[in-house]
Amino acid sequence: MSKRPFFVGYLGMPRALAMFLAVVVGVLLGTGAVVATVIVEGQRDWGDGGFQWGEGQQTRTGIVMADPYPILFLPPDADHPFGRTIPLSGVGKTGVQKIAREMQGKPVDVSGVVLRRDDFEMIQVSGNEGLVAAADPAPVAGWTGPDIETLGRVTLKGELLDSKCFHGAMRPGQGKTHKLCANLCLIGGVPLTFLIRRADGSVESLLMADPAGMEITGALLDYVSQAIELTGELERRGDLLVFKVDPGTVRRL
Amino acid sequence: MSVGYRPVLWNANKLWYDGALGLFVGLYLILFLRYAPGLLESPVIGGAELRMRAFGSCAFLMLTIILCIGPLARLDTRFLPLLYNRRHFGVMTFFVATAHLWAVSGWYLAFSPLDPWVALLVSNTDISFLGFPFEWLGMAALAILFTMAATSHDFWLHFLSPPIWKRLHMLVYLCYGLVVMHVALGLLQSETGTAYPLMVGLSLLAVAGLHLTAGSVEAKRDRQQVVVTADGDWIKAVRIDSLTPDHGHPVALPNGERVAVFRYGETGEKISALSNVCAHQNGPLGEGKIVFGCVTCPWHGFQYDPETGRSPPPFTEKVPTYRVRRDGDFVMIDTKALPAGTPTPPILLTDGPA
Ligand code: FES
Repeated sequence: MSKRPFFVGYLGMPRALAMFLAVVVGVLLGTGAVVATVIVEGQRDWGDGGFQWGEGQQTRTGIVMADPYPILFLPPDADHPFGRTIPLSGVGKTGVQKIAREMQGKPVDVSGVVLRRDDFEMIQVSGNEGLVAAADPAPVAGWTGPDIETLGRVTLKGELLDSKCFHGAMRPGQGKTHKLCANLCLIGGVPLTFLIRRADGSVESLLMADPAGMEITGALLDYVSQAIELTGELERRGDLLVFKVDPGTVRRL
Repeated sequence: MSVGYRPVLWNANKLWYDGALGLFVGLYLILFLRYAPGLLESPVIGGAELRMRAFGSCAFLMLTIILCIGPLARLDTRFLPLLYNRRHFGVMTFFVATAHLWAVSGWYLAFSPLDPWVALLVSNTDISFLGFPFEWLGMAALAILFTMAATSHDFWLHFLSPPIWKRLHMLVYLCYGLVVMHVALGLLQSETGTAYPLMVGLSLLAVAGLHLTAGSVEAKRDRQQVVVTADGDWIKAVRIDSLTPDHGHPVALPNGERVAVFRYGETGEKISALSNVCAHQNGPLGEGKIVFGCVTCPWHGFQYDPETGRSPPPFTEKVPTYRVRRDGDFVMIDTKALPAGTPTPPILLTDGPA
């Protein structure tokens, strides 16, 4: 008779084999622990943006523009000599094109929850009552929105994003694993932005538009969340940069 | 073995197995989710996204282990108990993978006017390599895991017949390939560190390396056997004194089939030969042993009478038998298999000197 232990599932477990298996289980548990730790530790930093629920419902008064995507322009003040721009989205993966178009160019009160990532701000508009004619238009009296300044033709490298997830609605709110989610947001009408990195490492988020200054989501959907290159006219509106591109210039990197 | 079916037949070894499995999954998930500071909110990633990664990576690791068990057991029989209840491992993997899908659909696919299932299929249609909807690959892998989990019970094994069932369950390799591509075209494109590609690489290395090693060890063993074509269909298979009583001895025939030769009886005086392929799930009978007078499969313990190839009543499984005779110090085998369950006389060593 040989000493090789033989295991029959419905009979008892030979002692030597039980010891061996205990070691195997220990090794597997250890492997699991190492893998879990390495994966958690090895993740990129996806930024700490997010909904500012703690600030409650916020209201901002400014001029709304519907194209290429709904944006609220706040007039210049001491801290913001160029004024401020705040991209707008609806609740969930929706846009507010319809109400923005009705109020196009008019002074409005926008209320909703603020999303903030570093210096970037966005508002999730709380339904139809979240975008109404300004109750007190005095703060924007005599101002019709920012001047448009053409900066010329440029070629830029970056990543197309849905602005809402980039501001922290999702973390990661960019990159390949998030592409499907980003596409859903964009199809729903959330403003499409182009994230570029300057030489000094700081980032800039450009609002995308077609050459006529209208929305361009459908033509660029297949290039979202990838490293690409685009060529077009850059334009400044207050502190916002608008990148008007011909979708034909897109190049995957 | 099967006379009637019960949902799952439990015994102490299966309970230990499932306990260890539950411990593995539980510890992995707790460590993964708790490890991120603040339990559900971490400074670098959202809680929902962390859960997606916890379930996804756990399922990938489990699939890797499942695929390593087979070759490990071929290389060292002490790993056979891991194989014994591997189907529970597979079913558990399916549940963990489903939790991964559920985490994704409850977050990345939610909050949209589109139905999440429609969204999954239509919202990314970029089929370039870098933009590929890797989610589709994950769905295909999950569909395979589901099919395997749903047909894991022995009822399906008999309903589909062992060869078809076995072929169906070989899809696990396709499933693994799909998962690797799902990760390569998804997470590996988002995360820039070296840790992630390294771990996927180690998984591939373990799975491929163990399969190649087990294959080459077996091929070498087959080559070492004394297989000389003698008169007609008979071959000189193995030296009698190389047979350990009560232990199987696999022999490769020139036609590629494998035969399990057993020396057994009170004093090890009998020698019989059966097909190496167990009627249950094609387990290797040649690596089995004689228990209570029966050839016992190393995988799940199905038993066969060495002289008839039939399971002891009330069981009804049968395997082909082979005619044997003695030629001096050698066992001769007729390479033409007899129909499953055909009684055939053993070599009786008492008839002459061994
Ligand atoms: S393969 Fe299951 S008992 Fe042989």
